[in-house]
Parts: sequence; C-alpha cells; structure tokens
Amino acid sequence: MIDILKYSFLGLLVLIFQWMLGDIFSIYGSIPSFLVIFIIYVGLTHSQLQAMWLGFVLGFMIDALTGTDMIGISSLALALVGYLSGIFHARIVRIPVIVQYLLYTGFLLVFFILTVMVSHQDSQWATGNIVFLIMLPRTLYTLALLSGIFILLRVGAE
Amino acid sequence: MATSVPQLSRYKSIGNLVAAIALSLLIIASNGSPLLSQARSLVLDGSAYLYVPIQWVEMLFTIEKDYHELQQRHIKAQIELNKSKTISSENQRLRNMLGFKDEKQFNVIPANVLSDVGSHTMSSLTVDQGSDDGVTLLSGVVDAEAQLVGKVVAVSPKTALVQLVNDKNFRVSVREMRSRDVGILSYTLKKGYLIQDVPKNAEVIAGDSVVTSGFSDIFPEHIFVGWVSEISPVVEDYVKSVRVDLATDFNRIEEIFILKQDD
Repeated sequence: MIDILKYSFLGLLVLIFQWMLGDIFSIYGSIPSFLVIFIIYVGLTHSQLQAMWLGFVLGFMIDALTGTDMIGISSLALALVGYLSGIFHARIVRIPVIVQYLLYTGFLLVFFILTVMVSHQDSQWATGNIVFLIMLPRTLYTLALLSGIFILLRVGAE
Repeated sequence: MATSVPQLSRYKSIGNLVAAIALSLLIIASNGSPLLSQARSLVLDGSAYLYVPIQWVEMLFTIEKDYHELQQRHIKAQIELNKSKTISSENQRLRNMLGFKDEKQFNVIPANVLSDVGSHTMSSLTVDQGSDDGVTLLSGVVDAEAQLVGKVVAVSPKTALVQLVNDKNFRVSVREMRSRDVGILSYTLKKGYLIQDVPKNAEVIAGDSVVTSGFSDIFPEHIFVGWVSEISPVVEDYVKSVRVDLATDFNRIEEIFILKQDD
C-alpha cells in the first residue's frame, strides 16, 4: 500500500514537472515525455499492474491539462507501455544491453505512434512530415534522456 | 486441472490491460461530452492551485519593473488613443451617413498565464480566469499589444485553457491590410503560418500587415496578426498561399486578455 502511494506521489510529481517545465527541454519544438520514462521505470522495476493504471490515470491528466482534442489517447498509450514494460519486470537484468535498448525504443515507439500519429490523423499535415519531424525526433530525444536516467538509477544493470 | 499461479497472474494482467484499453477508448469516444468536460475542469482547477505560490514569488520580483513599463506604455497608448479618437469619430460619422450597422463591441478580461504546453504539434496555455469571471468557451484571446494569441477551448470555474495560433487545429479568417484580400490562416509544420486560398491576382507583397477579418463571432476586426513574409511561387489553380510572420512572441507571454462580446 505504501508503495502504491509512493509511486502515485512520484507520478504526480513527474506529471507536474512535465506540465510546468517540459518546455525547458524543448529542442526545435521537440519536447521529451518524462511520463513515459516514469511508466517504463515503474513497469520494469516495480509492478506491471501499477505501471498500467498509473499510466492510465497520468495519461488522462496530461491530456486534460494540455490542449489535445483527443482526451484519453495518452491514457491508452501509457497503459499499454506500462503493460509491455511490466512483461520484462525483474527479467530486464538478464537481457543483453543492446536488446534492452531495443526494447526501450519499442516502448517509446508504441507511445509516440499512438499519441502523435493517431492524434494527427485529422490534420492536413503529410504523414512523412509527422513521422520525420515530430515522432522520430521526440522518440530519439526521449530515448536519450531515458538512457541517461536509467544509467543513473541502474535500471537493467546487474 | 488446476491453474498455476503464474498463469493466473498473466490472466489478471491481461484482464487489467483490456479494462484500461476499454476505459481509454470509452473516454476517447466521449470527447466533448459534458461529463468529460467536467472532469477536465476539475483537473484544470486543481492544477491552478499549484501556481499560486509560484505566481506570488514571481510578482514580488517583477512588480516594480512592470509598473514602470506600464507607465511608459500608458503614455504612448494615450497619445495613440487621442489620434484614434479623432479618426474614429470621423469614421463613425461617415458610417452613419452611409447607413452601416454598428460594429460589435468587446470587453476584455485580463488573465495571468499559469502554464504553457507547447510543441510543434499542439499548443495551449492555462490561464487563471474561468467561467466564474465571465470567460466563455470560444472567446478570442489577445496579448498586451492586442495581437492575436488564440481562443478559449475549455473553461472551468477558476481557469481556462487557450488554444494558441500555432496549434494544428487553429484556423482564423484574416485580411491583408493593403490589398484587403481575405484568407484563412493556419499553422503548417513545414512552412509555418500560411494564409491559404488567397486569390491568384491579389496584390500581396512581403511586409504587408495582416489583421483578423472579423468574419466570425470569436475575433473582432483589426486584431493584429503579423506581416506577410513570402508569397508562394507555386500557383495552384486560381489561388495562392501567403506565408506570415506572427507578431505574437509566445515565449514571452505572461498575461493575456480574453475578449468578451458585449450583450
């Protein structure tokens, strides 16, 4: 129970950080998602169920706080990422480092494909532009930050 | 045959995943419903409390500087106002002579920016004025220089969410001041701000000023938008597109003004 409260509180802090200070990390308009990093972290190191439901709630809140016209898409994406990362809970240390990073990339792509591609389906922008100018830069930027944070927190290290 | 513990745990996870996905899809399907708008209001209102101490500290440091800046602006604005009054009364007299209807009158509600969320995909601001202060959905929003900022897309009792001009869903009818041509301004990923569907023979040149056309209930006429920076060389059929440099600097917005139409 204490763990649930602890991670919920941490999640709330990450949400506030993303919402208030996310712009500081903007590079050419590309803002990383700290929420997805947090959900992957919870899924890998703590519990799959908690990662899923935290992802759902935090996703709803970030959608409500931002001007998105599709509330619920981040809930779906983060819950899915929580489930996928939870599959490797406690097993991540036995996976080779390269495969670990491929997995992280996969998780991030799932998140960004859902949040970026689906929410832009009604825009007049070309798919290639959305993929190469928004989705991939955000994925790579978030992956770079995730790598740094996970190295510091020794996630995936034996 | 008894089900093993790992299998049970897997079924539980899959069950939870299905529930989370179903709930998310239900939320997506109910976008725009009153219940979801209420939930959004609740989150927005809760978030506003986080900014109270931050704003208070910020105000302590900036209040004197702001006061002097406002004094200067006030003097300049007063001179401009005096000039405008003369022109306006002359314009009103001529309009009356020609039998034109009166223009819509707008009041403004000043609001502080609580937070901005921006990327080149979606952009919004949360402000500290809500329905309790008279803010209504789809009100136009301008900055301190009366330049176009965006429109209100969600309102809670204490806060409002403003969709900025650089949001992918934002469209506004604008007029090029010199040639008087009208078009729709929107933000595009590669080319920035574009006025589309401008007639091929429109005499638009770089540097011309662009203002709102007033062809909607959201924005009155003459709100300054920006300057023409480039005219598309490729002419498709009978229309062309015009690139615009926006006047508003979104990085420096601290307070905005919500336009409230007089009853």
